[in-house]
Amino acid sequence: MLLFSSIIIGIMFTVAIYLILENRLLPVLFGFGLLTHAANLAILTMSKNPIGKVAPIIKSGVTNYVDPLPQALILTAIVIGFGVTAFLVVLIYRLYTASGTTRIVTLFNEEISTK
Amino acid sequence: MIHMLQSLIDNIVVLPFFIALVTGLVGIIWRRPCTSRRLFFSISAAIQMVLAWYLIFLTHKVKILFLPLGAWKAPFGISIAIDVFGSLLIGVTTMLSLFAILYLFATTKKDKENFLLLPLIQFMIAGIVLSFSTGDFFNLFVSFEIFLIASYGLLTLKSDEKSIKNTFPYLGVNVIGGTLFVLGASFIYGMFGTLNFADISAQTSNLSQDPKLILIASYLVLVFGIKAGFFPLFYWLPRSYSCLPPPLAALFAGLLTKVGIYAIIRTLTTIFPLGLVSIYSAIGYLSIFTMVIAIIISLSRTNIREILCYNLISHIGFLMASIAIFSPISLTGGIFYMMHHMVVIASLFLISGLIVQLTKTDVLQNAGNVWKTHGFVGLLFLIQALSLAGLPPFSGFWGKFLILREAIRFDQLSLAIAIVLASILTLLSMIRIWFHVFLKKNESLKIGPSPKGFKRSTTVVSILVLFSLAMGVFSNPFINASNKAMTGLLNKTSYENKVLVYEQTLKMIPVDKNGHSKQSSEKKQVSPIHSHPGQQKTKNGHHKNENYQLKSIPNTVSKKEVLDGTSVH
Repeated sequence: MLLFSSIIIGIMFTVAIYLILENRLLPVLFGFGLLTHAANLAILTMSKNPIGKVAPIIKSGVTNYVDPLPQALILTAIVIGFGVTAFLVVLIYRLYTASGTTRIVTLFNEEISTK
Repeated sequence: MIHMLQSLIDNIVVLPFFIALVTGLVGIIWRRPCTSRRLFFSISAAIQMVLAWYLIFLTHKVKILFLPLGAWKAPFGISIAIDVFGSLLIGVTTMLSLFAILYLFATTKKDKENFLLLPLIQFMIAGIVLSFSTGDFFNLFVSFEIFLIASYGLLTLKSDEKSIKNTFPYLGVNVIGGTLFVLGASFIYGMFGTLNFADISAQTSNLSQDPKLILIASYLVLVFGIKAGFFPLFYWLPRSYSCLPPPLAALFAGLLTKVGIYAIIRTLTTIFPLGLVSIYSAIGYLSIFTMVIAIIISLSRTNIREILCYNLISHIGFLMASIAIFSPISLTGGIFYMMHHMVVIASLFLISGLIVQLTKTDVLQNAGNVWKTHGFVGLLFLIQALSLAGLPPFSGFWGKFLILREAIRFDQLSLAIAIVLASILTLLSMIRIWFHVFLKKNESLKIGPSPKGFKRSTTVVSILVLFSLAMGVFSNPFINASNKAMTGLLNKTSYENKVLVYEQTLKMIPVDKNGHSKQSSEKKQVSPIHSHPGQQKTKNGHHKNENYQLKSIPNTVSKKEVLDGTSVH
């Protein structure tokens, strides 16, 4: 289980980095989203193997609960990631309306030449 | 009534954070910019400053102020723990926020003020204060994100094309940094099963040679290095900071990078065992590159704010050098230098704002004549420039002197040479500004009468300059305070004891079956440390006979052994 999820995390990070290095802003946006999710999955993996454990709701006679803390942490991280992604969407939209392109090379080359 | 008063005193630890947050929220509801709104914000900032200074006073008495949020015991709930180091930085932070707000009021017209500007500043201050006061790794991440999101907002507030373009790299770097931070938190949780500073510290106290620990510590240094603007990671900084208006640039430059340095110091002292020599030497090499390369780049710039930005990065290198040497005195110097640098770089950015008000440009070639018409601004600039370069009566000298002295004492000559070289080049870059802006005669530039609000903003800046001057001339109390902060950082057992074996005032123990067994095992682990002899031997205010407890330094670092009471001066 641990091996499986670590392979998935690795693939997610690879894809995210590939997308971030793209030349257009939209793949970059998706890359950032995927990157935060890969990190969230990494936290979830830290709660060890969940097979055979029950949800963290206290019942009498049950002792093997899943570690609840990583789930609480992920909830926080997801909310923060959501906020940042929303901001990023607006930022990219503004960049697009201001300069009519989402290609990073043209966006930032123009700036250098106008200096 | 007495009970309420008692709980207020207990909760004073979170008050600076809380007041900033509430003020920001009120500012979002109360939107129309007017005089009373400005008055409200400045009074709130003043209250935060007074409270923060009261916290400094308190931490000097009881060393560590601790509050378990919701009365959940330490390893389980989020703990807020402010030691002397944290309280000093909170004091400087709130002071800078007050002065930046006052400067802002003096220079911008009421009808041109964006209603989000002041709330966002308050949110940023709240996040920074929380990160200086938290005792929990994940909470540190949350507070980082609070001030980062506020700073994205501040950067794009003008919402013109240039600022949005410059925000994009800043945002990208910080999103990646934040992700790496979460990943680091997950590694720590996986290794130690806890995110509480004190708990990690108790568990790692005899693991200082463990390669896994060294790996994760260096990973964290990388993560915080992105925030601090280390040598290979600083390209985003001048780009985004130089497009901000002066008071915001002052806040960003003074505070944001220092949070990264704070987190590195906290990680390497409070959280992880002392004596991770390989990491110190890696930081040392990085600091040499940061100091020298950034200052050389600053000499090639032609824009006052960009020059200041690269100076800022170069001086981050000095702070890293103090961490790299990692002796008690060098850390004292580093902490002192950090406070000095927050004040000085912020006031230099404000002075650059004054210059722009006068000459309407911040390109060196187009400026000039200022010394003749406005000599007082020149005087302010001169004091802060010499302080930045580190000339004797000014505040920059003492921190640099302590760091340099320790570098020579521990035979780290390359570090010492880099410090001296970077200081000289700092002086050179400051002289460039001095010559072009103040002394040069520029026929095509006419400086008219002082613009509106110029007098008030100059007054604000000169109070800040006076403070920094006082730090240099009456340096003793400041050095004593930083020495006390350093002792608190290296005295890990007292931090652990305070947080983990905390006697609860409220009889509310969380009922958790899982947790209960862990809690009892925790107590067993901590209790031998608790009865450690000589724990409370430190004498107040006497930095000469401090009793450093470098308990977990292995034999391999014998040259960095406990100092035998050598004096600071």
